[in-house]
Amino acid sequence: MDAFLVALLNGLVYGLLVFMVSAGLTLVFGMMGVLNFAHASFYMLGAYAAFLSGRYIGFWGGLIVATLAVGLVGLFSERLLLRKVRSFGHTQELLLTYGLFFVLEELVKLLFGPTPVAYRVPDELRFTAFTIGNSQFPFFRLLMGATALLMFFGTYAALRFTRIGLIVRAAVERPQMVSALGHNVPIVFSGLFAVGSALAGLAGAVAGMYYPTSPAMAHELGSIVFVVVVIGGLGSLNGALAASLLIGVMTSFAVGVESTFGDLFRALGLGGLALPGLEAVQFSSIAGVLPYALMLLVLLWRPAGFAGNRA
Amino acid sequence: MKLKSALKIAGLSAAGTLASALLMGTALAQTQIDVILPVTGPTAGTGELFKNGVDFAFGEVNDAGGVHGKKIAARILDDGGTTQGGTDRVRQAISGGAKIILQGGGSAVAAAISADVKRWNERNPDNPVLLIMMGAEAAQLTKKDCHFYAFRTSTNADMRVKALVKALSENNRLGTKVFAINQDYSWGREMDAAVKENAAPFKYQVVGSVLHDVSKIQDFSPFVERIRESGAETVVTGNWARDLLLLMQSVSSANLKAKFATVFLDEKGNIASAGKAALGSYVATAFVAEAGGAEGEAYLKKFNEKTGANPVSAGNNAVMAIRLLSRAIASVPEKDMLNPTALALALEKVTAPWVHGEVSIRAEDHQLRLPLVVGEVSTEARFKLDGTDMGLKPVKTLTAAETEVPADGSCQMQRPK
Amino acid sequence: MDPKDKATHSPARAALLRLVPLALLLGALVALPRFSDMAFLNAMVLVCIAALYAMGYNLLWGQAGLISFGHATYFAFGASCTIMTMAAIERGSSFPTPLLPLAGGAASFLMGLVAGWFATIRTGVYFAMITVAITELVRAIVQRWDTMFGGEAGITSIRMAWGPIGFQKLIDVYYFTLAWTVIGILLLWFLQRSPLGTVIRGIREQEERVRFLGYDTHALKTLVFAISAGVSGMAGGLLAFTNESTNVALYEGAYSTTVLINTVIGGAGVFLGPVVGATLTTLFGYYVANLTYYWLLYMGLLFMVIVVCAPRGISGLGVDAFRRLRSDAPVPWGRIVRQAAGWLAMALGCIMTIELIGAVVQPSYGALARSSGVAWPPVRVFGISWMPASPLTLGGIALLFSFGALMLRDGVVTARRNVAKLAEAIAGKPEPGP
Repeated sequence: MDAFLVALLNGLVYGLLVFMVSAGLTLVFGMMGVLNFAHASFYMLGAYAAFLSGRYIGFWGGLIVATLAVGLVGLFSERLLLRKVRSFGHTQELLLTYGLFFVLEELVKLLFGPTPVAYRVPDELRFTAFTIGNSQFPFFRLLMGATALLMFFGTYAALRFTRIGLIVRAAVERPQMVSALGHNVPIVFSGLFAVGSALAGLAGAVAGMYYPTSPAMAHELGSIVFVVVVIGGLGSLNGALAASLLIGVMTSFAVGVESTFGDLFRALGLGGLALPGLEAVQFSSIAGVLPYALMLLVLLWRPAGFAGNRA
Repeated sequence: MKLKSALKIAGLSAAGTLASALLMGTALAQTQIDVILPVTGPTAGTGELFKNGVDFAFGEVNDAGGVHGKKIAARILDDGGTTQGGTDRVRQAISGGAKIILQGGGSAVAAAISADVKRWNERNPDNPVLLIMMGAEAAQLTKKDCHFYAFRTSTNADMRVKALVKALSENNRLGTKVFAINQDYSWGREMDAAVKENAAPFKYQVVGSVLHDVSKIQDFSPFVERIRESGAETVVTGNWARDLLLLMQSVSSANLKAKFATVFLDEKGNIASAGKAALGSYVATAFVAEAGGAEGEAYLKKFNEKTGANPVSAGNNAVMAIRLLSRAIASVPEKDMLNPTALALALEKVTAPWVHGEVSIRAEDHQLRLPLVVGEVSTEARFKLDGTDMGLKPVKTLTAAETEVPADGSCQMQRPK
Repeated sequence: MDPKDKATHSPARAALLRLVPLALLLGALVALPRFSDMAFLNAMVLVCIAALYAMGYNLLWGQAGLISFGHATYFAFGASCTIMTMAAIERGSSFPTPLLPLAGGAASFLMGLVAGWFATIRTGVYFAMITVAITELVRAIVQRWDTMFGGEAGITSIRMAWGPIGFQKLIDVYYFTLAWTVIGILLLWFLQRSPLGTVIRGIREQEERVRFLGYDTHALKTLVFAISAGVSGMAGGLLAFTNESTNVALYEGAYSTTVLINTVIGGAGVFLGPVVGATLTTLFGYYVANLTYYWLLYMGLLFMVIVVCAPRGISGLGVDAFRRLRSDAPVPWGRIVRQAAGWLAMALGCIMTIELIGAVVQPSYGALARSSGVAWPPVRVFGISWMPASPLTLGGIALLFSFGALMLRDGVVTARRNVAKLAEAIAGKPEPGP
């Protein structure tokens, strides 16, 4: 039971972290219809910004600086680059963010080298929050989860209860209509893009102390955030949260499974069919690809995702 | 006006580039050795370690007046960490007349390059090429896939695990319950097998073993729970980079008492990134300054002056490779200094000095014999790493004879007549 | 082709104008081994493979309007199956060596039928994400199935002679690859010109209408996906044939990325556009990688410049220039020279900045500064010593940038106008998917 609880908690915290990065992406995706490939790069930039500034102004100050700085980077990349190619359609925007992803990674490599930098959990946060059975749950994992929840409720409230939120929600649903009503959609859009990037930056700043802060950070988080956005449904914050938590819990439990492909074949009554060389492979060793399998199923059966209402 | 001066500058810089290109063409009179490294790509961090070692070791050779009175220059070719890159660079190098190729980087690239060199040598028996794999650890390179012109100057899973469990059990730090967690590809599986093989001779019990996806695991906590349930006292892992760091983070944050026995913990950035999570972990490595006394300190200092970095992990294997190679070149007549066959035969005989004892090549399968040090990450270490307050405190130095794992006879190389 | 072009030039002449340069190019490629060293010949083998791969990939994008982010799977599967067939020949199978790429192509075609059936259920981003998911799943299985795919060390084999052809020398491999690449490209050309090609383009533009005409659009898209996968697999087979080995690293994302980048840089809208892109980036990676450690950054920057400034790729620019030459409008030489000078200055400025930063942030530079006692010791970039902190160096770079900006300023105005025009033309057509 304890082990189950611990696995569940770990899964939830990881899911919340994924949600932190996906939150901004899903809003932007919902509004512009384009997956921002560079979003994971903003997450990496957040970690580096917090590492750089944290040395001078401390950990908490670093979090704030990272959020603001990455928000600015997002704002500039939207106004100076994305806007230039918008008239050519989504494909060109997608490709541009793809290029940005590469350039940002290589730029970070140029400036900080290919190996991880010393951005890590501050010693004062390194204590046990609570104990379940024999397992101790560290405080900063709790902090990661709490930040994500705060972010969820904050964004949710802003979208639900403010006037700007109303416009944004409307623009996600019907951009032309909102524009026709006289709202400056491009400005709303830039703002949303900046906020989305800032959220990714904050996520990077929080996650970077736990995960190695290296140029490969964006790559390693990789397509999992896109998976969340697709599974959760276009532009849906709730959907993204649900998808993130599901993925987190699923991977957390999957690594505990010790059965193999051979067991599966035998269980299906296909013992003789088991492919030579594959039957001894444990499911836990492929835990990392489960989200993709889930995404495939969702895309084939319900392309709008968990909570989306249009594909 | 502005325009004119700008044009002038553009013209001047173009002329300068051209002139320098011509100059570069004439500067090749010294002996050149091609070094294939992953300077870019996902394994660029490892490439940097090799590059430091290469820079230092060739500097050392040239400062002593070169070999046969000739200086040696390294030309670094970037394979981008891919097998295709490796294959392309081999062809470029051979096309440029290279006789000796040094390779640094992962096992997959090494395997591809070794196979390419082998085929080239079979098709061009009169014009063979010598290959030294400075850091690839996959066992097959000196077993089934060995060939006469290929040398490996690093350890393999068997040697690392043996060194770890030997040093730890002799110092009563191993315990009797060992857990193996490794990446699910050739290297990780070899580590896994080695941990199980050494259980009987070193009297421990393997209470669990895990092979996991490479660089894909986001959260190791579930594995940590498995380790905790198994009651392991020591966790042996061949993980590197991110898979190692995340694993240590998870274990440290869960306050697990088990100690880590690792292979690649001393690579640049790891200890800095892991922070306190690394404390108390062990690593079997080729160099621990504190274990080397005055000589170790001198080596550390010289290496730092030349490269601005510490000699860690694969960097030391590069130094060993080049020391062995330069001694082999010096031992043959000057006319044969670029004769791969003569050099291969010489490499089987020479020994090179190393901080913790001599290193040499086993003629049977061209595997390096080297001393290893098992160190513990500690704040009490004399020499700190990565700009942290932690460093490696030696637990035990094992001689080359102690770390050696006898060849199993699977290497059937065709020697020249 | 524009109707206007047809009015001024006869179709026969137009065809000649196209065929003659292609014939000359082919002639040059056939004669190449006489003048080339081994390294360049090897580079050209890779160019051929990358070109065929990109052409196969672009069948899906250029014709069907579907962008795949996971084509490496089919490229790699073709390579794997070819090497397995090669190994079988080595063991005595009677499969004719010259047909080896077909083995890879057929295997990938079959795999493409299955994968394509799933992927083409959706379009746009969702299609792309399905291709990503399939790639990840296949990769996870292949990486663990060592008995079949050889794991990290891969599978190696040896090219066996067939009749009079030895296939041992690189020159044999070059002609072999060239021949298959040409065959593959011709095949794609005829496919594009066939009624099937027309229907496929129809699906891209108006899927509903094509469906109303009685076509099973899903089956057709699946077929196109499979053909695209098959051609990619053929290219993979050529790679296996050249390298005489494959390994599971081929299944990783890099090969999906490269082909996409090649297609964008070359231009997806022109038939031979991907070939242009593949040639450029392959040669760039092959040679520039040894000159500078930052070649990937340059490649990324080039990619972004092309996406922003030349959305139809380099071949799109070429087609525009060609049209202009054939029309009676005067050639704006002044503007072309200014643009070229501007871009050159910008590129030089970028390169100098990046190289200097790159040299200065190296730890060994810090060590040099400490040991020499100079705060900013000189660094060597492209064989010249530069003082990184001297006002001359920094001023020179600043001058390059301002000169470039000056040259490009009036270009930007015209370019904006052109871009607006082009955007209008594109906006006239409906978007293929989200």
